[in-house]
Amino acid sequence: MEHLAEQLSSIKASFILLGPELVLSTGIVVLVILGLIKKIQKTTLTAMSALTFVVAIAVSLALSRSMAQESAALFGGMLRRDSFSSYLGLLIDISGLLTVAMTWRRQQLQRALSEYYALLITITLGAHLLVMSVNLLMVFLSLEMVSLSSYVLAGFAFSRKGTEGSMKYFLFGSVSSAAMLYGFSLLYGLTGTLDFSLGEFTRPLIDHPSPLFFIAAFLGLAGFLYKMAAAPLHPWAPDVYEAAPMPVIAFFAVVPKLAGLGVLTRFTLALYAYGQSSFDWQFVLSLVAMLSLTVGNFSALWQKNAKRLMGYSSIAQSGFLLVGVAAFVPQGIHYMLFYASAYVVMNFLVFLYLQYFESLGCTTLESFAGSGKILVWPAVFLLVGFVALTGLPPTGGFTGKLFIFSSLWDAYQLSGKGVLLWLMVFGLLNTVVSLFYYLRIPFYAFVRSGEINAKPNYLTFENLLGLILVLGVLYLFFNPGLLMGWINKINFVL
Amino acid sequence: MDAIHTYSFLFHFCLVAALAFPLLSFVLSFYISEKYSWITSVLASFLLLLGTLASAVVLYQAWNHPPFAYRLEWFSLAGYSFSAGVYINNISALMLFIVTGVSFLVHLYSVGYMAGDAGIQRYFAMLGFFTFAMQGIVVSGNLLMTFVFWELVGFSSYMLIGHWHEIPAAAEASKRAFIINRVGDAGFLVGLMIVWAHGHSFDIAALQHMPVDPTWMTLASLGIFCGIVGKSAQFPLFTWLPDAMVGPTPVSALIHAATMVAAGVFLLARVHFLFTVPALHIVAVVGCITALLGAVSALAQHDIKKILAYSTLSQLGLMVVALGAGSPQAALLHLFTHAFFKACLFLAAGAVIHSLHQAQHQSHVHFDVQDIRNLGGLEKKLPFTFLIFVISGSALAGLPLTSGFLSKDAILTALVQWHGEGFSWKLLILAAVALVSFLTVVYTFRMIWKIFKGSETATAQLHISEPPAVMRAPMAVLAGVSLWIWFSWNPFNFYGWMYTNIGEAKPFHSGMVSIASAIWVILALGVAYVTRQVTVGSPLLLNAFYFDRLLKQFVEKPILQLAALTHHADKKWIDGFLHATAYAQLIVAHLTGWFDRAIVDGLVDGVAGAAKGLGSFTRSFQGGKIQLYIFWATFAIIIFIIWTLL
Repeated sequence: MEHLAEQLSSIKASFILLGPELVLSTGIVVLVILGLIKKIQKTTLTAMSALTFVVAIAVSLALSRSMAQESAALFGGMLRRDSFSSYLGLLIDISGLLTVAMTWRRQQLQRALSEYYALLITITLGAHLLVMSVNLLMVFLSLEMVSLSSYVLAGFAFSRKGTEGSMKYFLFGSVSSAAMLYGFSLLYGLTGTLDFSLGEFTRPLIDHPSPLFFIAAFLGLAGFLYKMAAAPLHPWAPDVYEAAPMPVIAFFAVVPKLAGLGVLTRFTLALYAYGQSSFDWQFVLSLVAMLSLTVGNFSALWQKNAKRLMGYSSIAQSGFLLVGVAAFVPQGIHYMLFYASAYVVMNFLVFLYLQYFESLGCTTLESFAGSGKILVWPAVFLLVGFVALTGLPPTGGFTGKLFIFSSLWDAYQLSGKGVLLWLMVFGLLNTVVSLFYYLRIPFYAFVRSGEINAKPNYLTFENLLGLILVLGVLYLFFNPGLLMGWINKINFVL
Repeated sequence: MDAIHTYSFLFHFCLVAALAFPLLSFVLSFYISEKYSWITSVLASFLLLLGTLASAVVLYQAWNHPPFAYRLEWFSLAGYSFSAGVYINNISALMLFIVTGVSFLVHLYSVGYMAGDAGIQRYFAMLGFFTFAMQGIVVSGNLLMTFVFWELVGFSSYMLIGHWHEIPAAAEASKRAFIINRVGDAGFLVGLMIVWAHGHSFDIAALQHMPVDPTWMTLASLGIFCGIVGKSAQFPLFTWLPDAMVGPTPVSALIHAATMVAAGVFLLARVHFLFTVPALHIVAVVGCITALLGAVSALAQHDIKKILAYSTLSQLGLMVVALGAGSPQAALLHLFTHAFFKACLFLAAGAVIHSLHQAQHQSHVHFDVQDIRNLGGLEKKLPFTFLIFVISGSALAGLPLTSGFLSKDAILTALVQWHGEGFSWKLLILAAVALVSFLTVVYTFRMIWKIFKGSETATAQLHISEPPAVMRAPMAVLAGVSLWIWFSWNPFNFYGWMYTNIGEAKPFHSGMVSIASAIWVILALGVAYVTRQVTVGSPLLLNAFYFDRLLKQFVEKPILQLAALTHHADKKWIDGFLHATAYAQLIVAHLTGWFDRAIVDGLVDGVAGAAKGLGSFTRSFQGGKIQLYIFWATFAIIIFIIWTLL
């Protein structure tokens, strides 16, 4: 009985630390119930989901302030709340809020809005749990929570293409989940524990390295790479991106990616075991990053559809994010978080305006022709977003890339591994390559002449939000110190 | 002289007033309606009179007192502060008075000369503005501020030369003056940058204590000298000055004789301490070449104003030689005397032109009134103008009892002192200067003789009357000031109150030089009388050795071409560049596309072909078959695992 009471009090304590997730869960329930009301205003639903995210952000902030730097194990080691997971959770919540803001403009077009929002929040919740997970089972559960909701949400355009994309997503996801689960089960068999943050998990791996262990771990990794849309588990991305509604893509480009990245970071650091592992995980991650960069950037070059282009871009960006992890130095993870934050801002900036132009009928690259002359500011803001994604000054994208590559260089200096130098060269070359496709839309918009039926009305919600995001992107370039100072406080321990 | 001299309120007030009145005249000119434009001329003259009075007070208060310096932080850049300042000593106070005074007289003269001109408001506005800008150069205690006013002077000069811009020659000449001055100013700017890089200050007073690096100082001083070459029309950037004579004659009197061109000499005297010995040698040589060139060319001119313009060149050359010889006092003395007599000569020439124009107007006879070949025997009809011409011409020629004699004497003395003992190239300069003063007498005499003596030719039928009193009065004043008495009590000793107080004069005066100079000039007068009928018909001299063509070819044309080029670039090249980048982008995209198809796809094709004819699968890989996606992903994972493990 005493044991049980102890467990109960532990669960109770865990719930307090689970504030943001509880808020999100409440939001889901409320939205589903609201959806049952027939005459409910769509704006009410939007407001409700926005409120959910705002409260979640507030609670996250309050919690991370009260928690300071400690990390706490929740539910008997299922989850771990630390500053790393809090920060990623915050980014994910902000992305959710921005997605709601993007959806608000097209809510009248969206069928089943309450489910839409409920699924959105469910993915967010799953992502939250995923970045906190230190238990393989919990990883699987939360990953599936993200995945299953994503499959449904991907088809929310309710078109033939959308259904097809959703189906592909589902099938591909199932296979990678299966592979991951297979890997997990092997790992459990090899180590006897599901908690990969424990010493028991890593010790047998260091003591008795076997090829089977590598296979198992790599299969596990495959699940995360799939979530991140990183090569070689990337092929689903362009098809899904092409078919899903714009806010959903914007959301997919960030939230599952960051969640996958978070858990991948934890997992690979456990596998890496401070360099004591007999397998070269740095090599594996570098390879994955290189492959993602190359596949993403080179395939994007010939895309004619803006959404598909962004799909490949998202693959390439996964590569850049992985560079920060592949460095395997603490500073690299900090820089990776900085780049992730900048990525959130610039990603939403681009998608916000892609949605705006899509509503004017611009879906292919050619259809952007001449838009820059009529819709000057939207086109300029879009340009800023693309410049940021390319990683040119004066944008936060540049600062982020600079940071990431500088940490990679440090890692190369430390270890002297040739593959890191190759990764560096590949990354820089790919930045050049990415210039060509990222700037194609602005090229059409400003240089090519064409007809576009739109009256410039700059006093719109899009432009306000866009301006804020542009300022954010520029601010991250001119004063990266503020955010970096915050990120530097993140103490990363397993 | 007390060590710490506090300047009275009156001084401050008058200093501000002296600068404010011309500026006020400039501003007010825009507020007077077109209908009453004659008010402008009267008002502007009145304001300039007030300005002259104020500057007289400034001169009185500042004379032989410690320099007045006022410095104001202007702006600061990267931790260095740039100040703007006023620096008044004997030289600048005197110069201020002379600039304002001559400007007033020219204003007054213009009331008569420009009466009825369509652009009279613009004329007086720019005249006022010019005066203000010139005053700015004079009182500025800071090289940066000097540069700003320097450019303003250039601008107003451009406006005034091109006053009659409907005449193509005037438009052309104003453009030329502007462009050639810019060439010099580019050098000036470089010089300023070097000075800044070394002293981190533009303050003239502070620069005197600047650490000196001889090489850089030589470069800096030569850079500044470039600006002076442009503004003071020295060799080789002198051609704009004769061309600028197409402007109204009072403008020529004020700008191209008395003040603007003098700005260069004035600045040179002011920053004389910056100049190193090699730089001064170059200055002297340039001045000498200009003096000789101007004097020789003046011999062959037929146009009254052109003769005067070339004589201005040669006189400016003399001043620059004196500066090069290390005697700013002599240069300044000549600058001051020259300001009066040359302005007077121009005004007198203007009077001739004006009178003849009026006469022509009545009788409808047309010939070029500025061509001395058409003139002659005007002594009877214009006795007053003749008198003025003789007095101011004597001063230009440097005849004894005139101010010109004193200042030329000062320059010659300085040169005699400078060339030292024995034979050196400096002796050549001295000889050249002597030749210049000889030639000056000859061409001045020739000019006056041709206009006033002999028999009337084209003008015989005309009814010619003296210009109105409003024009005669300034001429009379200036002619009066061309006499020796104002500069030194002793007509044969330039050591007057002015010379001794405009710098640390070296106590060197040779009676020999004065006597020799007097004899030399009288001799020249004799030669001039004997050869009065000889005309120098050399087209080479008439065109000042064709330097204008040279400059046109090598300075003006390239600059205009550059302007056309930048204009062209603006219009076409930037667009072209955009197109080119667009094309480059497309080419690269095509290349990468080819790479994508041929290499990336080809590689995939190859792998697929190897794997038991999976070619159809590969084609459908791009078609989006999910089975294939999964296949590839799994395949890649296996490859990965195998690669890493092996």
